[in-house]
Amino acid sequence: MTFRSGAADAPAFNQNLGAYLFLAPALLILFLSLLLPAAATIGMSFTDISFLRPTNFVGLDNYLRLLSDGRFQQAVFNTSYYTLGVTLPTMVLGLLAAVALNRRFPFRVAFRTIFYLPVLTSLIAAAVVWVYIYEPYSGPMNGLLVSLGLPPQPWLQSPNLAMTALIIMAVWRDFGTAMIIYLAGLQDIPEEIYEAARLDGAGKFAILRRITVPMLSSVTFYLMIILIVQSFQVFGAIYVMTGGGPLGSTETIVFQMYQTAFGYTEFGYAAAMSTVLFFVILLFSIVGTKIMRKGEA
Amino acid sequence: MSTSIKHRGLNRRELLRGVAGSALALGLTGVAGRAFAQDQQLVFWSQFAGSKRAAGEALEAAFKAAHPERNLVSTLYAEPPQLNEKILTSINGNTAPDLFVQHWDYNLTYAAGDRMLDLGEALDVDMTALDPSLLAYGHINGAQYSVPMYGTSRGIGFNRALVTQAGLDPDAPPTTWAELREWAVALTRRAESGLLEVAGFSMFHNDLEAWETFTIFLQGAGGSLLSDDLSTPTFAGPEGVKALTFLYDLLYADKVTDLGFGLGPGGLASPFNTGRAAMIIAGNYSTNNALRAGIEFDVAPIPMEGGGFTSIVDPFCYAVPRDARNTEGAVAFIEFALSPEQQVAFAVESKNVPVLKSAQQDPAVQADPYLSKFVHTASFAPAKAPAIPAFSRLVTIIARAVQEAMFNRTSVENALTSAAAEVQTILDRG
Repeated sequence: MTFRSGAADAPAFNQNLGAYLFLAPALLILFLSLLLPAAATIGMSFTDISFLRPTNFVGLDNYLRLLSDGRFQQAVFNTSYYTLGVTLPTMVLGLLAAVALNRRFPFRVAFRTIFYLPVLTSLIAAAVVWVYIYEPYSGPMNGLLVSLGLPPQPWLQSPNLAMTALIIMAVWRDFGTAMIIYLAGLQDIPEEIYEAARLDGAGKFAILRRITVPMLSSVTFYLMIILIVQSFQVFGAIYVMTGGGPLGSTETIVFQMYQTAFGYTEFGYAAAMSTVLFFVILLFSIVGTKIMRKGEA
Repeated sequence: MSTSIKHRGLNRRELLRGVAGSALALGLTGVAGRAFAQDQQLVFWSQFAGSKRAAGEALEAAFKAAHPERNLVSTLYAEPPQLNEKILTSINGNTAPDLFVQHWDYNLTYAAGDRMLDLGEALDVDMTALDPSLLAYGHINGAQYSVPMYGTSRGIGFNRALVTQAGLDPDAPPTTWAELREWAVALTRRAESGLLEVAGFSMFHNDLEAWETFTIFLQGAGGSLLSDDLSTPTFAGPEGVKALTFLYDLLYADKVTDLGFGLGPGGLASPFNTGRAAMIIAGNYSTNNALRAGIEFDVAPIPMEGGGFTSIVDPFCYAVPRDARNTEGAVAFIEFALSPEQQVAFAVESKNVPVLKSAQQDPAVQADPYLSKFVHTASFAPAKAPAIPAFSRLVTIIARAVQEAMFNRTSVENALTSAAAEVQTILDRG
């Protein structure tokens, strides 16, 4: 009965025709540019398509191959490590910078601009500069270590360090975004709450922990989802700085997808990688959204 | 109004018909003209970039002057992977060019899908006049699907100033592995702290060079990557173990370099070009940067274990899509590019080894002190090429194995055996 009532209350289709017509161009573009390629990719993942030889339907072969592919498993580990390594420090540094720059003090705008500048820099240009920074013999990073009495490190040359070096660069580049989003969130926290806390004798750290952080929870979840999705899809910096090496230590899923598709012309197998990545990101997004809604409720 | 038009002998309907008819006629003429113009075009996607750019432009200008009837339209791509992406998508969109020049291994991939023209039949060129070791890289499934324009070759590149400082004679370079080892040890310089100041022999700076260095020493030990019929990996045999052990000992026993030394973008900032490496595996493409960096560059053939020399060559080849619109024009361009005059001009300008044997010995090529030496080192390359469509995957697997052994992740034997098993799976898959 409820559905009847709902159906009866819903406006007739022709009453909303105008709205649908206005939405149509955007929906059409969305369908052609996003949904159709996504569906095609999923379809391709069940084939051995190479675009050069006749295509055969291979069922779940590509997915079964992924399960036993050591290189793909390493790429999954590398991607997860990178995502974790970028997301948490970026959020913490972004929050601290936002809280610091939310106060009134001279040159506040200049500091905000400086912290946000890396976001505006071309990724490729930044990556080239960071390759120089990490240069083991004449780069400034090792110059700093040596001046502090520490041994120089082969940042991009060691399989144990290369991914960490990429993470440091990504945090430098992304924390400006986190800072801006947190700054916007901080504007929404009423000043009265802080005043009440101070009257109750709360210290700065207690205010940060008990008021600022909880009040920013929805912003935090939004940011986390954005950063996770972005980190899962990392490609450009790796392509320029390490090419996936040394020893595959910086090979991520997207990098491997590119190599498999265009380097080895195994588009079907690359599509299976892409589909797995798509559903992992979708899962994170759904879980994140649910947690966020629960928090808001 | 209608009356007035009628008065001039033309009513509104007739006027509209006339306008529509004229528009249609104009449109059809335009489409036909465009189609005709496209038919006459020779669309060429070129990878003559970087140090080859001037030579490529000169070649195209000469072709236009010699063939004014052909409308050559060329597009330059900076890197082979960039051109590969374009070719793969264009072949499937039926927008492929009439002709392209690309690194040989990509061409084999396209040829394996039966998408390329057999140039052995299409070209009116004496194939026996071309260098067989370069030509072998375009031969697959019994047909010559791509034909080299030029090749690169490898030698031992060394810094004469550092060699002299170390008390060695730069005019008597190593001729055996033992001598190479002596040179590498003598040329290595470390600070008291152990920090490497000059690597006696800098082995590799990326995956491709890791594969290349191993392959050269594998050949030096008398081995090869694949069996003669290209169906089985042979690099994990005793020769492969000997080659990788030699490199491992240079690193750990003789400490002639540090692991990861010089891994990075290369170019003018590479260890060799900054005077921090005395010897490298050099290609003719190394010449310009070394000279620009002020290095006293010289090159010698790469010694085999017990004497004799070896090398590898690496050609860039022309290929024509099977469904090209202007096959005739494409064939004319390749034949023109393979003429003695164009081969010599391109080689001298770009410092690359010409595919035409007579051009290799041309006085102009031999007059170039560096190019002539690389032409000489090219003569030590094996006549048989690892010409398989899965070559790029083979490189990745072997480079990974070499580095796993060098980074002490596994033993030399295990690294090579695992890599061989992986390569066999790929070869079996076809």
